[in-house]
Amino acid sequence: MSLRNYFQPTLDLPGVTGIFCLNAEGQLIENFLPSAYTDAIFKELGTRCLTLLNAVDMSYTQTNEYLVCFEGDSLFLHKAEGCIIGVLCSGNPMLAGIRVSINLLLKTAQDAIAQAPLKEIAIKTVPNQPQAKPLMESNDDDIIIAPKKVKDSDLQEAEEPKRKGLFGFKKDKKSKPSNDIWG
Amino acid sequence: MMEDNTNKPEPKYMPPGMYGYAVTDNSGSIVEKNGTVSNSLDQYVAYFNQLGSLLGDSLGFTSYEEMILLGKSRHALCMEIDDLHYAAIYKAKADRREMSQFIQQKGEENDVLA
Repeated sequence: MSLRNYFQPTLDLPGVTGIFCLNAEGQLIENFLPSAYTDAIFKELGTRCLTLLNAVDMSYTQTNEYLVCFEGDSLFLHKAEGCIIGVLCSGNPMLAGIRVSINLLLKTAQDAIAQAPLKEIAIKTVPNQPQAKPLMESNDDDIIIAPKKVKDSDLQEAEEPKRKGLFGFKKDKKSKPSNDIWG
Repeated sequence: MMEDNTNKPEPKYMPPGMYGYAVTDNSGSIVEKNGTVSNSLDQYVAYFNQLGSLLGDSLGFTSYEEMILLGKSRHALCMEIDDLHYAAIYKAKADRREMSQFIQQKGEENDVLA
């Protein structure tokens, strides 16, 4: 019996647009969301689900069910032993019906979910591609990655002129050769 | 002898079934509190709202509205309106939409006062 058969009664509920199932580590087991939601989104979504559930458990109280509402859509999350189930709904979901349906699903499919293999999430990378070297100088978008080299002469010009001493006579005194005094 | 109640704040209206609500800013400082709300929920409601918003971003929803933590006998509501974070605790049997509407109304009142 495929996992889809277990999830189908919940998918058939009015307002339910899709379901996903993650393991306790937030990795994807099954994705029955609309086709626009590819498996690739679960790398981020799984981590964020897990972070939310752990944050609430640690800082508030042990909570197994969450309803996160957005404009026109909502996400119902159920944390069970060994898995997390997410139900995506549109409009005003029939919360009581979804809760009962998920509890029934877990009662019958918990073993099947535990034995189901994880879905491999394809990450678009090109193997053995050399990494692009960072530009030494770039003025794109007004961001300078490496500052321009400054010549020593420029630095000397930028320096403030040294004080000549009290009343400005110091430089003139020093400019005279030392043997002038002795004639 | 008459009891002195001058220091006690007058209880504000809450819809039936609500235990209490709290309004905090982004830093977690309390702006308003009425009834009973768990201290930790006051402190962390801004963080919970942020996590809920991020979760929506992953699904392509940019308009986070509220998050309800569904307990067996009590529910906790977390909402963000105009940079203020609202936390409310109510009975599981209470009308969820009535609670949300009440907090939204609070948000509009605070927006006018700001």
